[in-house]
Amino acid sequence: MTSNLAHIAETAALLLAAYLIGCVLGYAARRILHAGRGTRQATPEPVVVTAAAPEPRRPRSPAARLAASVDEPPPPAKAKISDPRPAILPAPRGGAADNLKQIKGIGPKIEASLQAMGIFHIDQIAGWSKANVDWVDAQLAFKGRIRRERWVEQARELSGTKADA
Amino acid sequence: MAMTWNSLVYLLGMYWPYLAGAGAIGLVVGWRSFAPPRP
Repeated sequence: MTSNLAHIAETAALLLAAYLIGCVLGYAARRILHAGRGTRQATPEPVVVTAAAPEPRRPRSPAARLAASVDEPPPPAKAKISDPRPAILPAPRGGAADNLKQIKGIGPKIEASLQAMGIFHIDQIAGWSKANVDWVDAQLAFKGRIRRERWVEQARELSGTKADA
Repeated sequence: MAMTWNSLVYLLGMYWPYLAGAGAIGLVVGWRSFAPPRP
């Protein structure tokens, strides 16, 4: 009877150990993948979104087309004073959006959301002021995530710009 | 009550599918626990 109990206890301990080892391995695997890519899914879906989203916007207004043809985004200092909204583009410059997932914390879904807002390039994020960060944070209901994950700093490091916000 | 090497090997041989199942559940739980907060 006691050996039976011991048998059950040992089996339970082994099951628990297997579960815990699985937990640690799963967490570590995802952490490693997350550190490498931002998120584990790197499907070409967002690229499809970028290709599809700007097309219906192009014919909307001549001003939008003009803004798309401009290489540099408007200076963020102007937006800081009058408008908390960051500089947005109707379409990616040169027809190709940057891979925003290079910024740790941005995954495919957030990248798609940003692109839907008109943010396609890392230098756009690098130019965000504090007001811009607050505005985007509120728009996407991030609750301070942009600051926590230091998107702007990461974007500046990636784009090599040194502008002050 | 003490777990000997022999009993451990016996249990591993006997119950490895269950242990693998527990490990798989743990793997999923661990994986999901790292999920970044979604907006």
